[in-house]
Amino acid sequence: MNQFFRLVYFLKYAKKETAIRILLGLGIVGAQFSQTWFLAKMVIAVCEKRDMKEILLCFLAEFLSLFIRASLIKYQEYFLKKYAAKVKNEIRSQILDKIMVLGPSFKNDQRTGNLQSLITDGVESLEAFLTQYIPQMAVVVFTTIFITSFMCRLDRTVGLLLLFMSAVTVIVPHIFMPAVSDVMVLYWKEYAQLNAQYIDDMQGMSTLKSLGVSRKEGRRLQTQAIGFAAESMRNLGISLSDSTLIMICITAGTSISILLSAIHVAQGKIPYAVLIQVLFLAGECLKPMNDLSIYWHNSYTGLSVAEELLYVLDYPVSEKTKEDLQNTGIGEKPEIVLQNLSFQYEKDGIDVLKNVDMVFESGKVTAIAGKSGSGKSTIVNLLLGFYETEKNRIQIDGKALGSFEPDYLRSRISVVFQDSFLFYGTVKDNIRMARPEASDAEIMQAAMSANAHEFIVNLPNGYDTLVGERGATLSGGERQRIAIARAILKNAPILILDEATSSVDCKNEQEIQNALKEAMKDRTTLVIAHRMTTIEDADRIYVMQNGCVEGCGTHEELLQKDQIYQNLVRAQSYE
Amino acid sequence: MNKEEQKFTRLKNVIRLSKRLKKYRLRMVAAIAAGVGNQLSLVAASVLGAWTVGLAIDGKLMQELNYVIAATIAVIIIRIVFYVLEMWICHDVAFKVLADFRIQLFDSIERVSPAILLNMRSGQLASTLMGDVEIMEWFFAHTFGSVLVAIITPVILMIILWQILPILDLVMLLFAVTAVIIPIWMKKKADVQGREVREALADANAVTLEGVQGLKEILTLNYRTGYEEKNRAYLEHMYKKQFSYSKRLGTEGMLLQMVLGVSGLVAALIAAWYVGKDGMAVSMYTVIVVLSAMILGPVIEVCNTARNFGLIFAAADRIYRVLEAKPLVQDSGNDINTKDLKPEICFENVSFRYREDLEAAVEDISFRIQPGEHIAIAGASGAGKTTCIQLLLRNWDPEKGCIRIGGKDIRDISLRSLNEMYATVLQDVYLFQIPILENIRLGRSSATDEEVMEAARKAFAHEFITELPEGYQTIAGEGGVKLSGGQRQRIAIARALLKDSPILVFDEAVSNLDTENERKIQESIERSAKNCTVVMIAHRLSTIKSADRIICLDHGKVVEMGTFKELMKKNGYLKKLLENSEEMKSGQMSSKKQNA
Repeated sequence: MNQFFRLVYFLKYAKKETAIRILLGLGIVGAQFSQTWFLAKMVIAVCEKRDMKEILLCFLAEFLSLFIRASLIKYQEYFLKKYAAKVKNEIRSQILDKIMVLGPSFKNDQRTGNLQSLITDGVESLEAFLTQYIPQMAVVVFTTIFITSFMCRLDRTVGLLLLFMSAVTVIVPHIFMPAVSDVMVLYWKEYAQLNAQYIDDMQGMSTLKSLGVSRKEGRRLQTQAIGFAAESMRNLGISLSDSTLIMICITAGTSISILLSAIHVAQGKIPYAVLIQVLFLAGECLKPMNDLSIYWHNSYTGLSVAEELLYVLDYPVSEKTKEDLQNTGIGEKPEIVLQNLSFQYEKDGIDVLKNVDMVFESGKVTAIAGKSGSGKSTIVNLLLGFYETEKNRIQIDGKALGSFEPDYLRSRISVVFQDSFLFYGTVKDNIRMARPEASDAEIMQAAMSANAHEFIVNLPNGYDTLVGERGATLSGGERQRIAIARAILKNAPILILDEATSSVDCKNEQEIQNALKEAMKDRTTLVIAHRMTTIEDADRIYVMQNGCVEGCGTHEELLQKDQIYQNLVRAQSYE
Repeated sequence: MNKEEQKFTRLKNVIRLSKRLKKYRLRMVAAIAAGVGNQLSLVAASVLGAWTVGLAIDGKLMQELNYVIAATIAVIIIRIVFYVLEMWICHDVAFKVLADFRIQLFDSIERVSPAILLNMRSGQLASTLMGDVEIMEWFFAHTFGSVLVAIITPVILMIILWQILPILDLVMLLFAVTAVIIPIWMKKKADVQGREVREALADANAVTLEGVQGLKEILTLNYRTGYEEKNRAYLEHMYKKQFSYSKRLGTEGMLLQMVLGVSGLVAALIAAWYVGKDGMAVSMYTVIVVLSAMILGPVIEVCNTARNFGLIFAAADRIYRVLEAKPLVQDSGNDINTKDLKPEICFENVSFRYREDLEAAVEDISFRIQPGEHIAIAGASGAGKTTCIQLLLRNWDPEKGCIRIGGKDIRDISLRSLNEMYATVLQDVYLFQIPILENIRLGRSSATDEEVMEAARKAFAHEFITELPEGYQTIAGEGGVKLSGGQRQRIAIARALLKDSPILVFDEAVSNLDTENERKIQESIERSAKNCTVVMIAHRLSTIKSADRIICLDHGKVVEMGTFKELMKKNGYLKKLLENSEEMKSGQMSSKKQNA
């Protein structure tokens, strides 16, 4: 119930539009009412054998009302899209903002489920609930009051009957609501799950087939699908219960109203003009209820994502205010110190880093070697401020890492990750992201240094070729080189290469090494690699194993005395 | 195929698709009948109301009162019954159709996979297909029926009206035709706009998703504002397209409403003239007015949904093509007991090209792999290594020549049995959105938890798995935990080792691993697969060195075959290939430093 109100609260970002939506609804009902009323008047005029002129006037009035209603419908179609867009956009922005502030640490928390589907399909499904059902409720309240009071003036009994029926159609669903919506929401969740399983299996079908389990899996899903169809039918009774009730009220309400008025006419209590009005208008009173019921049924999918949505938006953000954080203080060749640093991803989880002491000297190249899982990449995540650590464990130029504003901190670091993401846009745009004010020449220069220029100009549109998920597919090595171009262009005082050349093939690796050597000049560099050749020339190498620092020195020193390092090198050499 | 033919084919596909729903024919007829009943009972209720009014005006109500009350109650009950019936049957059909289509699509993809032509690997395609099924479900359960109802109901009503005032029927017909023309007239623009909206929507969604997928990059590149601007721009573009679309839609809706309304008004006016002229009964007049207002209702409703026909046809088309897709290889072989087959592989003069107009991917390839041999296939990119694997796994059949296992042509073996012979780790590792434990267990569903973990240990995956937040219960796959390329490969290797097949096939299986892990896994595979035949596509020096024999391919032909020592001594293709490798150089440098 609480979720219900919190969702409705989103409409405050579109107050004006919601008001217009309600007014449009009222206008359309009003115009329909007016049209029907004039029709009734016309029928009365015909029955009383009035002047043709009067009949024609009624006709014109009807036509005018019709025209107004049709025009409002036309406008509404267009307006509704705008209204829905504004609301959905607002919700999506809030989600994105939250994700940006919380960073990768939140994204990797599995309890968020699938953030991607939440932000696209999930928000989409809220449209029916927010932009149709809620405004329609307001319309129904106003129209019911107006029409039933009008009817009361015509024939008191009928008016009261209609009022009663309206109340029932509005109130009863809400009595059923908690029970029904729980069932329906669960239903939609299961539906989404079954759907997802089908998609997952279809994508991985060749794997399933090669493992010989494809037919078995097919039968399993088949049983689930058929079972789900059966369950849906069982639930149907529940979900149809309220719409059937509404249908009963509308049908009975209309028919009985007419009968009652007819009897009153026969008893001489009201003139037959009133009866004709009742005949035509009784139905109008209850029509908005029908729409409301339809909108409510369309809202179920949206309500099923409410919980997840609110979880994301309610997630606590760290307390630090802007005033506490610095946005200066990292020099041109900063020195980074890790002091007795321990870290776990999960509270009471495994120590990913244990009492790590490291110094990345100013202007020098420091490398970290070790097999996968030894904690190397975690250090990168911590340096980028993606996770919180104890105060003063990491210091940059003598100041605690946590004292810097995250945006400022990251602006002073260039990173090349192992798996680079390219955005939907041109190659040029993708490189330019690192420094938006850069000129085309600077971009090309950076690309050349990253040994990317050649393959870029050979693409269909050169630098203007569209890449990213929906664009051209580049090989792993090509993507890496663009990422390296980004880092070079950014020209920040700290450079981090996290397995930067691991997906580059041998031929290009050498050239990129040279380019990177250029890039490493005059700044503090951290290289993380499992290819030994990339770290041989480092000024200092730390050897890590199981989250601990096990050795430190230059390549030659370590080869002499460090067992673990020797093993790492030997694994790659040719005997 | 020009546009007209295309449209016609699409219509045919919808019809063909509906043939697949034969077993629901009875239900669908029932649904349509219930729909007609529902509509007619609505009309009956309205006409009864009008008749009651007529009686009251003529002063005859009180004497017929009992009948009228009985009729009113009956009509109310009938209306409700038909309403519930229609809802019930329609939903029943819908749910069953949905289940049916999903099952059929799954079976079809299963049969055809891994045909490259029907590559479901892209999540877009798979989810589009499921969305298409929903559209079809809606179509068969509702739209289809309502189209028929929209024809039947007005016809019945017009027959009734004909008895009273024939000229009105002609008027109604005129309006009906006008109503139908409107969407047809606006259709072309509708299609174009519809397509533009869908594209803009897909683009906007993709950019929105980037905010989640590329989060790390956005933050480290300080691209937040830039991204927000980009997102806004794409959304603006999409809104523009949507507005044009909905403006046109609004105009269409408006015109249809006008036609519906004016038809009733004109009918009322004409009937009024008859009342004045011919002295038609007033009570009859009320009935006429009520009736004529309701005739075009169903027609307009269908016109409103007609706008979606383009979408529906496109969905039907896609589904139909998947259901009718043919596998690339005929599964006409026999099931055999794989334990009886010697894991000896023989390529005999095999030639193959991917398409008629392309060069041969492999040409006249012959080699024999003895049972228990560990073979590395080496060669530059494009030499034909992956093609050999594809042919071995029988994803394609060779143009010329023959491939044998244990002496039997693989075409004579059923695909199911053939799959039992192989355990594969290919370049593209797919992990399902189930716990890692279950992902590995897919290799052998009867395996115990211990056996699964043992396989993981052999693949050097056990350590990193236990370090994950939920260990083996961590959900993998697209929506699950993000694993590195190397970690995914090791899980796939564990899966393959668990399967315990006589032939292991690896394509670039260890490419994403750091060298220390690669070496350990290499050794582990050698130990676990001692009695198995192993075929590995090799890029790393260590893989090549650890093989019993190496087959070198160049431009689709076998150029060298032999042990590592033999080929290095030969100073031929392999030597040259390795010379360019960075690893050779690093190996030399390291050993020089060690010896110094």
